[in-house]
Amino acid sequence: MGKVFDEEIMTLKSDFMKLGALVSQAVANAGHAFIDHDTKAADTVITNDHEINHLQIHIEKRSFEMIALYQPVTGDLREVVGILKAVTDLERAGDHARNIARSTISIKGEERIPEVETIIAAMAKEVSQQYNESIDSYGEADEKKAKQTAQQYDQKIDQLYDDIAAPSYQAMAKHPDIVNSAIIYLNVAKDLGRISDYSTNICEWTVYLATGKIIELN
Amino acid sequence: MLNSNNPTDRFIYHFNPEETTITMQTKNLEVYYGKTLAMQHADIQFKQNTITALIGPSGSGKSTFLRSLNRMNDDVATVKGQILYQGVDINQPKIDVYEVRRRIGMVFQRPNPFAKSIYGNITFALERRGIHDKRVLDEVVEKTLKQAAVWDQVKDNLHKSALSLSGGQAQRVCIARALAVQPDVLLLDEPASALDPVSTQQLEQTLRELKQDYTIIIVTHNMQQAARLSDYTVFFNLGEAIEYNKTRKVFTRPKIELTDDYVSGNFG
Repeated sequence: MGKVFDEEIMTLKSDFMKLGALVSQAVANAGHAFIDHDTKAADTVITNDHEINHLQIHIEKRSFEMIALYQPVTGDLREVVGILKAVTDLERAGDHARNIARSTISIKGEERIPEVETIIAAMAKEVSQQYNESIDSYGEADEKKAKQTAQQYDQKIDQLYDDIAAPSYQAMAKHPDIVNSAIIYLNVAKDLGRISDYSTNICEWTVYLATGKIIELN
Repeated sequence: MLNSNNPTDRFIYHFNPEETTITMQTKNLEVYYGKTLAMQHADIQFKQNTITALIGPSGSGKSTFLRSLNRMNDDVATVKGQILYQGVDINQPKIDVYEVRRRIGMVFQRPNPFAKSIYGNITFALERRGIHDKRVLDEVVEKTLKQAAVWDQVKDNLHKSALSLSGGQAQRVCIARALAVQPDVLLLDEPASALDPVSTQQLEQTLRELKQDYTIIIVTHNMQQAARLSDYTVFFNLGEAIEYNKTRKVFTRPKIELTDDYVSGNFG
């Protein structure tokens, strides 16, 4: 397209990767905060979500401007449209990290189930890794890596969700005192599951960026 | 690898003739200026009632190709190969070149109205063919100016000089003039390059409407115009057709890297 466009797309992509890193931090920190019962760290995740939202809006505005000003086609169009679509997935993954942080605050003082929290820790770790690999695949426009990442984590994450849900329901049935905590565990597992889904979406946008094909992974 | 970067590769879309009406088709076309081969490897089928855009850098052969289609290169170049119009090879000495140009009309880059009235521009060719019935001529003038979407603007001034028209109006009068002889195919060589954005938009709308009745082939340097106006696009480079496909494919996922570079503006 020309030098100006190339420079602008570099800036846009660098902003996108910056947002990717912010959300990555939010996902990792939200998981740690929940497991460590660290409400202060959870507060930081909630506060930082504003920065994520602002950056998302900025990236969207720049993408619209670039389409209007340069009317890109083929690979250039995919660069802009890929970011425009994937940025929503990043922001939503960030929202779910914020939800987990809120759950950290709500569960304060409630009775815990340590076995379930151990599995939540494992799920948070997997989801965080999956997210990071998805973002890396996008940054490198690596179609193969994107497909591998989506496939590698899909069943594992589903299984971990079931491993959290089953004991949570059982605990609720047996001990009414634990209902609040169990509901929060289910919510956190659901939030982690959604972050995993958004990571898969990012992988789908990587495939689009690299090949122009819009596909459904998993 | 998304698209081919082998320099000898090309992608030329071929219609299934059983499912598609092909108005024009070129086969093994070669155009020589003197002894210099200016254009080759352009076996293109033009589908009826579509707009096909010819794009490519200056000197890529697209205008040479366009002008060959109605034998306008006869005096300046040697054209070898077949140009099939409704199945008949019109690139034959025995073919009446004026009849070819009646059926395959041409509109040029700069509006070139004759130094006559608007009315006289439209009726010129018909009168030369011996049609003088005013009622018939009036009908043709109204019909073609309406088809070219300029009737409302000129209907009260039909006997004013066509040279007094604005660029956009003059270009549409030239289209009406081409339509007056009832062609099947309309060739346009950068018809909007001398027009302002409003006139360009009106001209494009006119062409979209004319597509219902004509097969349109247009040379344009304006990528966005090719993208928004045409159904099919041919990309020319160094005197050869490199890629021919549906426009939406050429501008989203071209098969050949050279096309990709050109339509995205990566000339480095």
